[in-house]
Amino acid sequence: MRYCLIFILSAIQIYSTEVSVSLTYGIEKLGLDKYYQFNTKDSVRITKLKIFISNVSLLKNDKEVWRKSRSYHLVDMDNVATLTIIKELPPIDYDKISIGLGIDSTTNVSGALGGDLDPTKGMYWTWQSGYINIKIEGNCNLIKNRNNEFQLHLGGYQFPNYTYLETQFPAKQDKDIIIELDIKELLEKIQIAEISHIMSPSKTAKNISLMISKMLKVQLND
Amino acid sequence: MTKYFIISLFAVISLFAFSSIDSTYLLKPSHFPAHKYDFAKNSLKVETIELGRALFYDPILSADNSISCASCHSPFNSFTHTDHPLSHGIGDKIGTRNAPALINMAWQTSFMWDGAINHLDMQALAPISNPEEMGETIENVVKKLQNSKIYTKLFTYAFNDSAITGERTLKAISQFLLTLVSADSKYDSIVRGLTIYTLQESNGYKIFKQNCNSCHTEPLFTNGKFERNGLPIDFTLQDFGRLKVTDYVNDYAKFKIPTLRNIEYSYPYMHDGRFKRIKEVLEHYTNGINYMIDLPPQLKKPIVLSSNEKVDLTAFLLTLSDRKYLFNPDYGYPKYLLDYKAKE
Repeated sequence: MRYCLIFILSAIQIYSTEVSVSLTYGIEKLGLDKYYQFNTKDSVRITKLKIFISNVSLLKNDKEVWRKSRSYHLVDMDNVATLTIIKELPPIDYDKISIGLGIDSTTNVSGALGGDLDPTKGMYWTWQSGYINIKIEGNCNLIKNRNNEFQLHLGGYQFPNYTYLETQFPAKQDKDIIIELDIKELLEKIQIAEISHIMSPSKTAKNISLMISKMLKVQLND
Repeated sequence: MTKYFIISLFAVISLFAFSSIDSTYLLKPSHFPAHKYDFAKNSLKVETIELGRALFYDPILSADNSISCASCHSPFNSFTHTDHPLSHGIGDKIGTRNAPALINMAWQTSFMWDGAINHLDMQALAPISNPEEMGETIENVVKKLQNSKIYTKLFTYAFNDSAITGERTLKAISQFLLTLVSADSKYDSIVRGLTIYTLQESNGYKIFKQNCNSCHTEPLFTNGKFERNGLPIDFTLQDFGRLKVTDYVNDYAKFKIPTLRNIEYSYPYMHDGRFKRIKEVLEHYTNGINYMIDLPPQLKKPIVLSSNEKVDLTAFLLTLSDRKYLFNPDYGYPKYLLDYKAKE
């Protein structure tokens, strides 16, 4: 009888599966303000990294079985707690998870919003309406400007530069879902020395956003 | 002392609430189309409108606490800035565009001369952040408001708890702006069947309907669209209008069609304030259009008006003046609130 109780309790614990983001530089965990080797003899550091993850839903046989309401989550490297997107997924049967990278266009035209969407979070353009989906800032000695800075502010909610993207990954009940993004791979692919400043919606912003959504990988953990 | 302060403040606010109960600002004038603003997401409340009014008139929104919204949008000029072709900001900086008149905001879907702003709630962010206007950040504005005792109280009255956020700040400003309804001009009285045009105004109205109404459409006197109106480009400003927003070649040099309501008070005219008088504007449309620019169909055929016709048209345009709008006590400087704040 006692064993049986313990068994039930442990079974309940298994159900608290979470969704989180893991940001890396190559095989290392990414830390803010830390210098990393770039190419062979250059260095790079990330000083700011913010990403909106939104509209998380679960699917079974390509049919939506669950959707998180008001699902707009700002991952901010300055606050480790924000790396966890959902603390507990519902104990239902699913085989895929769908996540949105950025903010969809409907939300972009809905006026002032609160929580992570509050414009005080620094993810809203002021001179022109629209959310910044992804903000990556840092320094790299290859960039020949003042302080060797780069600033990538990716966003855009209007055609033809609509940058919001949804991606699906295989998932499994009872397994934690970890969404991985390798910043080293990103900086190499976009050739950061060539594109150091993006501050408004554009074709380049759209292409880089697409690149990032394709670079996301998922790891399922027990 | 604090208790006294709260009681007296509450008394003032509730007094105001009483005086506003029969105010028309929550209503849609019967000859107006449906509102464009979604009130379900920000339903009007007297206390929130009052908070918005305090914010509108308070220079706390600017980096050096010197410029308020009202600095460039004064009620006595139909909420624009006379004498200044281009808007002024902190440290005597001068912007690149004429401050537009704020009229009937609940019927607009895009804001600024180029429509860069897609929602009334987000409008205030632009002047707050523009280095040539208020040069501030919304993050810091919220911090300053959080440190103010009176604003903590005003936010509590408005939102039932004392949290001061960017969302609430912007929504409160929207609420005040939504109350700015001008529908009490002579034109409106005529539509309501309360009076009639003079012969001159009546002639002017006919000319208006033939030549102007397709863009400056009744009863709002704008169709809310963007057009090129044949103004020669001022290359000292390098302002190509909506092109910057949409990145669409056809939007080159297009600007928003402004309302003609209260045109008597909202001079100077055009996106860069280049014309001081209505006369100059009519001169532009009859003799000044640059036909080398690709024009909308309405302007392709030259507008020909005799000097008498111009006088008649002007007489009609003056029937759009709404003096009650200019001197509405509900729109004015909230002296009692900002006096309290000055004592903090």
